[in-house]
Amino acid sequence: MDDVPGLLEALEAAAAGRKEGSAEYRCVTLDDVSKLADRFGLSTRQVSTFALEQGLLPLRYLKNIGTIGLEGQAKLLSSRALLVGAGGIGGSAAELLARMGVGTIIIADPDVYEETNLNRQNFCCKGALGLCKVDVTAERLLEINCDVDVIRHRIAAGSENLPGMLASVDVVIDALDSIDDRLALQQACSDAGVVMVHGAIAGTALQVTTIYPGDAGLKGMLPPAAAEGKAQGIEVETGNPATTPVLAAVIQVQEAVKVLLGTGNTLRGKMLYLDLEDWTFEFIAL
Amino acid sequence: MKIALKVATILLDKADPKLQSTEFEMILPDGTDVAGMLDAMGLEDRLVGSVTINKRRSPLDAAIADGDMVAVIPAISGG
Repeated sequence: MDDVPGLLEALEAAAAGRKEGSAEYRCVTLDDVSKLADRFGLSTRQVSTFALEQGLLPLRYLKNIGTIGLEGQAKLLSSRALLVGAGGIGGSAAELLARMGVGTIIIADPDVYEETNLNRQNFCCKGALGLCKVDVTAERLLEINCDVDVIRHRIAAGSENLPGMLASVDVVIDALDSIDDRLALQQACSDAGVVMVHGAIAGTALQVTTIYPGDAGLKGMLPPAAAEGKAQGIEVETGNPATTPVLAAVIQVQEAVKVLLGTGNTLRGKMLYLDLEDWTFEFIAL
Repeated sequence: MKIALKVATILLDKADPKLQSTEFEMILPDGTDVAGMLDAMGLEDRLVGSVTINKRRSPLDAAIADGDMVAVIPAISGG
């Protein structure tokens, strides 16, 4: 971020030392970040990013820093993630992205909350029934982290609108609910040169893989049998209980963070299949 | 030929007849492919997402050989 006259001095005046493990950081509270944003006519994300670039730490990220560092946090704040689907996986993934401090979260989902979503969808509650998932999710994310810019698309992501949504996106999280839509998303991501983190659930089972442009990814799955409507999996029999969407979201967001930061070993070229019922834990070479 | 088969728990009661265990040995005619094995198990294709032979994902027409380790993973797409 460009230098803003007086901002660094104001941040340093507000910063207080705080020990975390063997390290000590000069931290700025949320209240001070918000006040400085108002005073300098900036967003809190701009102030937080500037602070991180100057070696100062917005206190809200203190517990992230031992793992991803100041540079990593600044990088996440300047990153853009597209979340396709704001249901079971999507609701939890959205919250995790915001808490990690991914700066721009673009969310696409055409649906409103209905009663059958209450068992598992993160932001679904009695008062939200009938409301647009992207609107409710966006409002909750801004309460969780005002540094995040949330862009809402109240539409079903498809081949006609995905190229626009994928422009300038750094990573995609697949939180859809049909095999056909997921395949279309993979193709669009590949065309746009964007990494897609796939996750799906059924009953106590989940699967996650990270697909780079040109990878086989989901295309090597056995072709779904012809059926009316969009092809789905065994979840039509098992349902989707509360636990697995959250766990899939956890793994997917961690994968997305690794992709954004260029760290760690990802699930590229292999699919994790996990069943919580009996601790089946398989890595399938794709 | 005899193969070592591992079937995801979720699929046990979808086979016909139902399976009692996630891991067992299965006798198949020589030259059976993945599609033939699923047919012999009475598993509907629409419920199966991946079949791996010796840990590698394999298409329906992939040949299975004596002694192979085969795993059957369900098609899952909930979100």
